[in-house]
Amino acid sequence: MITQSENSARKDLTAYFHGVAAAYPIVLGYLPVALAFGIAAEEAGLTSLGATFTSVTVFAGASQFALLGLLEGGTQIAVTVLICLALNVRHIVYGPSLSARLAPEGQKMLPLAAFGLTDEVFSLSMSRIAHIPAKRQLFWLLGLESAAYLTWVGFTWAGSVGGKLILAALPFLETTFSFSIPALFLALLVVMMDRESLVPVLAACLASALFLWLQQKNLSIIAAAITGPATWFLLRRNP
Amino acid sequence: MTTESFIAIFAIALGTYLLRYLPLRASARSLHAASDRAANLNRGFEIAGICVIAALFLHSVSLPGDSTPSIAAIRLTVSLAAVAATSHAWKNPGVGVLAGILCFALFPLLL
Repeated sequence: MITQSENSARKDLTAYFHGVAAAYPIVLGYLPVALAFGIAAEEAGLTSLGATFTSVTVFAGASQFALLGLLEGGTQIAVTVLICLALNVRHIVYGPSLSARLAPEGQKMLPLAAFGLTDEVFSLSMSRIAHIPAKRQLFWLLGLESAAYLTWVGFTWAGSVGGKLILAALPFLETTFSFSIPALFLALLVVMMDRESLVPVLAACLASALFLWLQQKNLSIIAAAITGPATWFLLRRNP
Repeated sequence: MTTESFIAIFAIALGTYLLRYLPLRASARSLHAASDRAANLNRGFEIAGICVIAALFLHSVSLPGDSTPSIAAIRLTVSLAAVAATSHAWKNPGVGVLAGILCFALFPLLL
């Protein structure tokens, strides 16, 4: 006889594996980037263990690449840490945006779920999580994050021990799969945008493009996160 | 790996985690209050999320370097159009990504 708690645990597990299955666009995107990070880390003298340790603990692509450059350049440790954290400041807006779509259930697992909230995980979960039953949302999110995390860590290690050999044998891999990250963001944007968000998104794109043009990549994301909702609030007041 | 590198990696890991966790924790507590203000704030944050994805898209897009700039631009445009069309038709971003990657990979064979 299946008790209620066993039935609930089975549903949690099913939601988790649905999350794992939903992660395939992220897996495709992470594969070449993680390989490239492993190769770059090995070349920067971080060793295979160091490269893997970085991916296991940090799990944030842009700052990991910046870390390599800064360590290689002999930058002071405090400055290195501050620059890498500045690159990750955009993550501040992910929690509040995702919370708006999360049901209040399952709050105990937030500390675990927060660890895997990368750009790609955040984007994919924003488009899908509202369709997951409230009680299972965080299990689904953890499944998504697990698949992304294992891909990131696994291919970092593979890149550090034999990445050059892999890319030499399959040269199309780097170019073709490098398209998967912009493809993922565009696909998510198409699925998530509605009439109400069209003008705010256009305003955010303009602001973001301006900062990109000024070579302020990290600020361009913050600018988009501020300009878009500000435009939306203004449009609501003056329809 | 030196001790200094280890300390740097550990500090970045901790800082990154806190940048992700603290706003998530704070907003999860405040956004579920039943009021118009909370509903507006919710929608504002949803819009912010969509805008961040648009900015991340602008960040990530670049011309493939394995062909001339004009052909690379056509290949990129056609593949992105395939992504947008399939995602819109199927309402599934995964299908859009796969269709786009397929289009991007097969494009050189057409020339």
